[in-house]
Amino acid sequence: MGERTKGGLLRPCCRTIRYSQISGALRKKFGVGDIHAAGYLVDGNGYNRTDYLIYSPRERVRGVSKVPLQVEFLTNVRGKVYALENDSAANFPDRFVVHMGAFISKGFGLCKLRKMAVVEAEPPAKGILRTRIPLDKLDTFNVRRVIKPVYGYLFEPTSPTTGTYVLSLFEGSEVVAPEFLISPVQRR
Amino acid sequence: MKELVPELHDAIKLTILEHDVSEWNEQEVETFKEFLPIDTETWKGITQHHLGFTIYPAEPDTFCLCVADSLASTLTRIGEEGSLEYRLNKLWKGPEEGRDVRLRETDDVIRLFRFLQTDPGWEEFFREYEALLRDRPEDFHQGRNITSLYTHCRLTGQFYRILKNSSLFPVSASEIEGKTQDEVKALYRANYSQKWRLLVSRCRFCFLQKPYRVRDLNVFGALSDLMQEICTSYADNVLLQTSNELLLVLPDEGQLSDIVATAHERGFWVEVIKARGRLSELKPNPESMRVKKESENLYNLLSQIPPPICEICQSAKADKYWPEDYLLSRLGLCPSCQQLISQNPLAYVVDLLCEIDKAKMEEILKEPAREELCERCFALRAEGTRLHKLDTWGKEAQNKVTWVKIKLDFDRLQETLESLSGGEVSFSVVAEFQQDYYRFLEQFTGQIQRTFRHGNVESILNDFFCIRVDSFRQAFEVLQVYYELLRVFFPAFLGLQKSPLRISMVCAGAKFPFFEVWSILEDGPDDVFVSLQGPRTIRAPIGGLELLVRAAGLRYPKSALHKLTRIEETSETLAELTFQDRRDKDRATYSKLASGLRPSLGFSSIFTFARLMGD
Repeated sequence: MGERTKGGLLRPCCRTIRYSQISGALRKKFGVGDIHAAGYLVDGNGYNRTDYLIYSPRERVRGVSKVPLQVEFLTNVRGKVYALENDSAANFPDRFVVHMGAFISKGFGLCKLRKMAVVEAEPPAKGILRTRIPLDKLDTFNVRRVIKPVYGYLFEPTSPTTGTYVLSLFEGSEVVAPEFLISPVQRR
Repeated sequence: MKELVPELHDAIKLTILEHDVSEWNEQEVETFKEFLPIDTETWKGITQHHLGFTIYPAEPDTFCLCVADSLASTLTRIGEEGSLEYRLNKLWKGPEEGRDVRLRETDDVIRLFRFLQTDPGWEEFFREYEALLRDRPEDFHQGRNITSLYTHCRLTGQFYRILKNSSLFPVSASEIEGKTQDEVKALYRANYSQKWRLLVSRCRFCFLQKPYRVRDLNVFGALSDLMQEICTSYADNVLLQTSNELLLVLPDEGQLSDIVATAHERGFWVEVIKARGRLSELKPNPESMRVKKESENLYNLLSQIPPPICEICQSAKADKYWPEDYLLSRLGLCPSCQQLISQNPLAYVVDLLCEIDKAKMEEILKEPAREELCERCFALRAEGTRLHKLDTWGKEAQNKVTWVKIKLDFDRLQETLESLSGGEVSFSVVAEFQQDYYRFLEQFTGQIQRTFRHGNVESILNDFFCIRVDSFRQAFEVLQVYYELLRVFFPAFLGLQKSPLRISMVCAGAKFPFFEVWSILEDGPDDVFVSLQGPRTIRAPIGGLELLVRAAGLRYPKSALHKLTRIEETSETLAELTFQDRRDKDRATYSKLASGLRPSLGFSSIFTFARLMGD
């Protein structure tokens, strides 16, 4: 995963696995639309460390290099992804790969997924959301109550070439949700 | 005749005379009677604002003043009334130097009464007697001498106007006039403990923008303007203020809704914690009130946004192009250049522009990439930067900066004040703290500007700075200033487990994306937090501040520091082993670091310290 610079300034990586990103990647992989997933990066053990790369795109027509771009990316990435169990998800193989993020053509964004277990979305508990979920998908993930929202927008495709940004709940929101999606509340 | 000026109600406390005029002895009455301002409403307030006075509140205004006086007093503090102590003894500072400052010479007292005869407003009163008011405790009893008379008078004025200007706190003349003292006391109890309610609310104002360019930091200017506007419009309701947070006392939800609406209008969202309680239940933190509390984040957002979305705030439709729309609307370009730019992205037509217009847009042409922005973010960016120094530093080859944010944690403040006082904390204690906090920030700003020179310090908010440095080790000079000022203003905080005041710093290049800096500064929960452009951090409790400052004052061989940081780049565990290896040739340096820092800092922090010191 990596993101380009803009105007000489750096746009850092997103440090969670948002609904739109992983659901999109899984839908693309399996060619079905009825997949709903979200996840997050796990802490500790030197996982998910930030690194930088200077990349100089080359204009092949003129045979010259463009202004170098600095790319921020994560190394030793480890995360957890939770997919809603339905007919589509039931057919997931135990191990498979998907691609997420930018610079895929340069070798970034290869994600190896391994099915670990089936977890129950009950009982919900109060905590801090660790991922990003569109508001209209909160019920899907059994997010029962939003106590203190942190809002943002996620892109939702409406066709292969069009889409819209939908209001979503971002990481850091205080919610009542399944325990696997939250971390304990910490006082500010 | 002027209306009653509530701030003057305790004017007699500036003298050694009895607070209750009816308790003056004959000689005092004889000496001062011809100078007393008996014809003014304010004198009524001075003589009739206390239920225990022989002349008790007998009119709606004096009754209202009596209630305001109670709300603004320190009496909620638990503890036995001690002996008399004439010096101010602030919870966070300890006893002040000095003596009983009250006016004792007859001439001085007469001068005060003559002044009161002019029926002054509160501004004139404070101008004339501010020093005395600040030195004189509101209450002389030991354990209650923790706030100044100045704070108490100001706060009484604020509460008086909150009550008097709202129809929710009605007192008619017929309820008061001609009533016995017991009847007025009963009315006071009924209103104070049962009928009258106020809303205590904490509001934190936040922005959605992720500022990229220096111009985008105008959002802080907008925040500052918003805070100033609210504090001016609701001057009596604001009891504590930081650069983005307010503690408000309001008569009802209506004014809170207005404040939130104003914030939304300016593009900010608001985190609100509120509780409405009887006057007897009020506390300076809604979260600690024993009533139903509500906590919510109030946004003003659409459920869907068609693309493109604004690249800065990502919460509104982008309908402006930067820099094309800016150039077309602001710079007065020639018709042919206007046409070119209106039909193409700037980056594609740079070579086709005329030289005169190119010269006009020299600055823009350095970064001609197109960005899609919403109206609000576009307007903020188009204002031009207010931070000229930072703008210049970003363009220099050597562009190291240290971002410094001082944060006041309301919750911790409440806990700290309660633990220091041994009981509940009143509004007046919080208001007293506010004044010292402001003075602390003023001094911090001045000291930082002297240490790093004015030209190297950009003040973004009153508690947020960007300092140009030659080396990141200069971050410790900031900590030195912070430590010295804490010793002067809040020495009691230095001995705490957790301080309500925190300092966060990020050492980075001036071009490092600002929103990344901001999220680091905002999130750091540690009392002392220093981040070195990325994951390397120093995290220390407030008790470790002195150790850090001392350790930074020592000299260390650069080679040893360099070796340690290089090992740590490969493996933190290996660096820990090296650090503790008794046979290592740099053992002496590591021992020095360990003895100075290890009691409070973890290895990771020590390695970052070494990295900063080696810079």
